[in-house]
Amino acid sequence: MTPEEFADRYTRILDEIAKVIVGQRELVATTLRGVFCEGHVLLEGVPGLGKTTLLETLGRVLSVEFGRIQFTPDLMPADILGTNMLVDGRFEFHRGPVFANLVLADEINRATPKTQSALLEAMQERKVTLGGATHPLPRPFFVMATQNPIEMEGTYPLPEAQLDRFLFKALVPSPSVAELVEILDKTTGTTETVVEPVVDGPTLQAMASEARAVPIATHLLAYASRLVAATHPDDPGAPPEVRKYVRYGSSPRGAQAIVLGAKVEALLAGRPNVATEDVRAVAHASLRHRLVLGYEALADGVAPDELVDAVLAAHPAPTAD
Amino acid sequence: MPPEHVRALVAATRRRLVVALGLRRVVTAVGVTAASATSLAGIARGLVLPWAEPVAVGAVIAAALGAALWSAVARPSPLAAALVADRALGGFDRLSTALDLAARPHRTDREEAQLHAAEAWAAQRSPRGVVRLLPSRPLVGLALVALAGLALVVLVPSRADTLRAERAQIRDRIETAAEEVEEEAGGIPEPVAAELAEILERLRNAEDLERAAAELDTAAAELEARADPAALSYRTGLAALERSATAHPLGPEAGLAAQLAGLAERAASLPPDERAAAAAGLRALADQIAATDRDLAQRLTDAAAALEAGGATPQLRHALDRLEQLAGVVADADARTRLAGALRNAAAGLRSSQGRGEGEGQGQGQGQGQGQGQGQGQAQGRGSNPQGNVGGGGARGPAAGPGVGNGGLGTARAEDDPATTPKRAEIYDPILAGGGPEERVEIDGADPGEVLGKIRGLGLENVPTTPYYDHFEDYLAAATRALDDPNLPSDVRNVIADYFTRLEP
Repeated sequence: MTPEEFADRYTRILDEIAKVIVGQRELVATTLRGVFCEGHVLLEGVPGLGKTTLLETLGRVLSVEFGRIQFTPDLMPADILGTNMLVDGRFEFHRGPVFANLVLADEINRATPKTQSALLEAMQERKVTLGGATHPLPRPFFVMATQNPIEMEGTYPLPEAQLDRFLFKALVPSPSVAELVEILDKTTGTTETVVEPVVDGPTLQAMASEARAVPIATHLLAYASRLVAATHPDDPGAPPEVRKYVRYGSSPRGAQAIVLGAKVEALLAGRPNVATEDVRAVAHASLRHRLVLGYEALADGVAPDELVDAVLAAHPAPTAD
Repeated sequence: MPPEHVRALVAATRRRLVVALGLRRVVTAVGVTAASATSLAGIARGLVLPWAEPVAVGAVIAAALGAALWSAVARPSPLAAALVADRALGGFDRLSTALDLAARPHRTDREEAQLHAAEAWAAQRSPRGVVRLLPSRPLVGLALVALAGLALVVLVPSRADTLRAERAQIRDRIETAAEEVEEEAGGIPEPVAAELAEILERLRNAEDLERAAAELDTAAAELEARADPAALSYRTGLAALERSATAHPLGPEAGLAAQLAGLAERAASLPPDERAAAAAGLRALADQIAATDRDLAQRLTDAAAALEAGGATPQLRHALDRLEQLAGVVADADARTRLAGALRNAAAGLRSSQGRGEGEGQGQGQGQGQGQGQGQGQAQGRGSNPQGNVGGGGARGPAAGPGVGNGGLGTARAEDDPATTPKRAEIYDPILAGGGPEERVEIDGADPGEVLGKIRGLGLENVPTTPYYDHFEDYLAAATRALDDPNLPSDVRNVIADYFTRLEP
């Protein structure tokens, strides 16, 4: 697959999604970046902003096996992974909804941590181990999760380990008035929107391989590493805001997310290599859910994105040393 | 190896970067250093810091040179240049990535494609405008302001400059005085020369002229105090011996010492009559020196006795040793005296150059009129200012017929104390004092305006002094001749010799 073919398919995917989703360009872009990186994406926003709709639309556009799990407080791990059942005197594994190419984990923070953790192995290892048997998950495999802000009632904050397994975290903003008008026009009439599948699973994997092949220079790898290091409060390059508000900085997965996201960004921009701008463009989505803030940040109402802004301001560009 | 156009574009950017960084560093360094130097020089205007302004200017120059040198040595890397070019030309890290990929031993197809794309992109780009060569205007402006401030502080004279100049002048004067002392004291014996070196060191370390002059006075007093008190009588006695040896030589040699040495060599071969004559001569010399140095007299007597006995060489050498010993004492004392005189002259010179204010003459006159008016006046006055203007004393002696007229009095007031700054080179000269210009005087008893006669006396223009050094030797020669009088008792000789020694400059 050539970069031009990649860009063409990406445009077609956007067009199909745009039939259903109004606005939310950044949200869609971040989600698709995750898809092309074969990574998991966490969407956070208050109910009713179209998170689930977006992912359902994405499932149809991608033409891959789609599984949806509605997380509730009484959801059990077996409801996600599957279970061994006795059939004709033999135990037989019945696959859960996680065995799909695109898994929609809807309102993931409404389940208990135990159930949330059931996704851990699946997300990282792309396999399920149950009753001593390991069951590989189909490829490509993405988990697209939505969650409500944790301060809302009936939610369980995702464990840091699980948060770290999401390649990107996208924030779902409220639509503008103009966008809301368009939403109302599309959703309150009699016209039913039909979304056509654009790419299938193998094509998606080919696109992911194409994205990974984008060249990136060593100094940009160092720049991504420096950004991640600067999220740690004890790092010499950490800005004062990070030193004050952050308890733990990003894991190396944050740097991996930046580099992969930057490659996709460069590809989508038609560039033959990753640029500094690409790295900076994906920094928020890659790092915001990987910062463990202290109580002072909560007290002062400091958002993770402000801290990522501070890190980017402290390190505006790669250096030659 | 990066593609050709990529390499060329990066190299050109790098050269421009070197120039731009160099200029920026130089301007920054000069500005910062000039600001600091201005502060330093400003402080030095209040406090007298002689090193401040040279250090300030030198620091600015050193900073400029250092920044230029640093820029020439610490050149930016090709990657840094590529990053700059990427940002300036909107390259989105094309050049820097191409440099990085080109250095890899193995490249994928996509990486090769990137290199080609970067090469094509670089081929269409020019390095002009990639780097702004001149520093920003605010930076240059601040540096110029700092430099202007420094120039203002350095070039506009201040109290410190005046004080510094005065200090330099003082140092020059002290150095000149030291050199004069060295010149005047040339050829002095080694021990005295060592003392002179110490004295000159103290002189050069003096902080002002007054202290330098005080050091010189103190040193002169110390020198004189260290002189052997018997040196004067030794000199007188030795001079008398030399004259006797000249009048009645012991041999064909010139000088007593040479005659003694010659006599010692030929003592054994002398005929009896010459031996007897030589012994008589030695005894006469012994008598002559007995009042001054009994030791030498005894040795001469011993030599005479031995000569009469047929030997005398060891005794003559023994006497010669003592003679040279005494001569050494005299030479040492002479050197000390001469050096002390030079020191006092230097001290006087320093004080006279230090004097400030206007000098007014001090005069004291005495007029004596006899008959048609012959007067003799005396006046002394001294005052000086830094320019060395000297005030003179005036005397006006009204005479009444054959009576005696009294000279008028003048006053002197100056910051220098005339009593402590004597001009030893000039002394009162009665001959000169009688040779002043004619002045019209009023004599009691005459009608107003009627001239009854003229007197020769002292006036403002004829200071009755004479060069001391020029005449001292005459006085000394006359006194020395007087000492030759064999009827003069030895204790009186000592008094006379001591007197002239004290007078000796």
